[in-house]
Amino acid sequence: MTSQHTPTAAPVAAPKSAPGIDSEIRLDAGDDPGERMILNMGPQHPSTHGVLRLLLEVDGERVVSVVPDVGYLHRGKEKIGETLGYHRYIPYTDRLDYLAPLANNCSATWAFEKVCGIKAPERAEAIRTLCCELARISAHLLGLGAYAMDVGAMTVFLYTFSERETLYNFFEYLTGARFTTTYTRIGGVARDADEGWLKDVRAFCASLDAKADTWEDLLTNNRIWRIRNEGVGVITREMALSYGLTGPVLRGSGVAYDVRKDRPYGFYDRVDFDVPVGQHGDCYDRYLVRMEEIRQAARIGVQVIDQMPNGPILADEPKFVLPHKQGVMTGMEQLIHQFMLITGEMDTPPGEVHSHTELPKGEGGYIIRSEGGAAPWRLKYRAPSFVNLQVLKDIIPGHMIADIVAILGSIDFVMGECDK
Amino acid sequence: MSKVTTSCMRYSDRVPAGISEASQKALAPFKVQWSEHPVHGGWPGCLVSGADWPKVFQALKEQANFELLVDHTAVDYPDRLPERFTVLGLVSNIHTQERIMVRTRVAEGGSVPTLTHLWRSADWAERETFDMFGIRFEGHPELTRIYMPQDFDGWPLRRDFPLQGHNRFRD
Repeated sequence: MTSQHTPTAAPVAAPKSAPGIDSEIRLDAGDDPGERMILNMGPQHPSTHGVLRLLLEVDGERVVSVVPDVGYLHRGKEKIGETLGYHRYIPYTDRLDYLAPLANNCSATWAFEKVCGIKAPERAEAIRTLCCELARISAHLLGLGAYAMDVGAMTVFLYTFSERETLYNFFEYLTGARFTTTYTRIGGVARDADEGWLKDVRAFCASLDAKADTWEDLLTNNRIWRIRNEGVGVITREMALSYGLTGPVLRGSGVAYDVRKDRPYGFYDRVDFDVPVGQHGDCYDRYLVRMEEIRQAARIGVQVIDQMPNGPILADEPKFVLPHKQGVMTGMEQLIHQFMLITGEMDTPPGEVHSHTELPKGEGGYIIRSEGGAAPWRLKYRAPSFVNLQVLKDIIPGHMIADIVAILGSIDFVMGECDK
Repeated sequence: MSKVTTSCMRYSDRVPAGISEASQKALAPFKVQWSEHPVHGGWPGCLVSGADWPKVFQALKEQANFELLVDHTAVDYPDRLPERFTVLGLVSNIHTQERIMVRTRVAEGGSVPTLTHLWRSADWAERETFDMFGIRFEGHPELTRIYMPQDFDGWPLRRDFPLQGHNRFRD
């Protein structure tokens, strides 16, 4: 972290002419900065969870204004998608919200299936829904653990990470990878879930409620935790909607908006779950909402496994769906088919598709304009972290520097997703 | 480059299914062309003129309760002249779950009025669209690049921007 006293004589004013060229991100400290100084928080600060840079103007320990600066991790995912095509884009979605890669895989394939006009079989939808919820649990566990650690409660991190480890072992068994899962395919999923795995996951989900009680014991009525979080970073309902916030951040402000409930996709219309909402919109409410979402996700997991249908895991749509790997390795026809689909011999119908799903960080999804062919003409990903981060410039001013850490933890963003 | 010269979207005066009466009433003062979707999976949408762009959103927000600006982006058709860009804004009514995709067209070097006075989320959304396509938003308080470096030359998500080799042989 570097600090720099602003010279009293020369105010740092943002150049108004020629935006976009040669202009630095600057803070206008006014004519008389007085005791104020400019402080850079990030992009390598440990509590900014990646490469978020906050340019703070502070008066002592109090923040006067803040400019969030994003883009340090921009890799041009949308351009990559428009070049590579639908099938080859799926591995790239692992690297969006890298704490919940399975949820991103599912979100992408749901959108791409709409483009192709096909539907995945029931069993694939059920497995995907289960994967989304497991990803939500693991993302919230990391968010919660890191949040608590940043605020000073080291123990919670160790508890949540041990459960997260169990989840990643499940992911490894199912997909062959812990983080870069690339599990879904257009028209289904890559591998089937076996009965033993489902039994283990069900036992895990059923036992999660009791474990969540342990974590709540550590935090919910912890005096320090409450002092650090109650009344900090308050987001009103109007502010939340104006900033387009979604996910636990919006629900923490009292808006019961959840894509899973309002426009069910996958298997969500067949499961019963509650959408928790907060009352005050402060950090503490966002923490409570996330905690309850972990419990609800486990509840959905149990229900999905109990209703798990039997049947194929890939749709029978040879014009769009990759053949089974075993067939590719042994059969001539399937090999040719796989080769053609991957190299771009796929003709999607032209049109525009909007597909938004409830990711762990909020509502995320795709606007895709197809003009035929194997690649989208335009692929737009709505990154919930990107949208949610904007609110920082309104809620941070007035707080102490140490409160920023709590606010960042309660917003729970991932820069891989934010920067695309 | 691909041979696509024009958009696949087709517009007509026929109001598509899924547009509520409140939205139709809010949009009545404007010249609106409705889109029909060749494939399922999209929300009903419409095309409005650039001058009407903020007014349409204002009417939808204030009269039909579309509180959330969900998404904002642009699509580029380099060979469609004079207006190569289509700017898209997806608004949502979180009570009735109705969504409308509003579109407008703009030429290269042209500008579209900003939506920042209606939604604060439009700030970064428009900066992203500006950063990626070079479309200017009239009245935006701070229209600078958001993902790319400030001194970057070019507009990465335009269709004629190469994936590799940009600026490699520049003087």
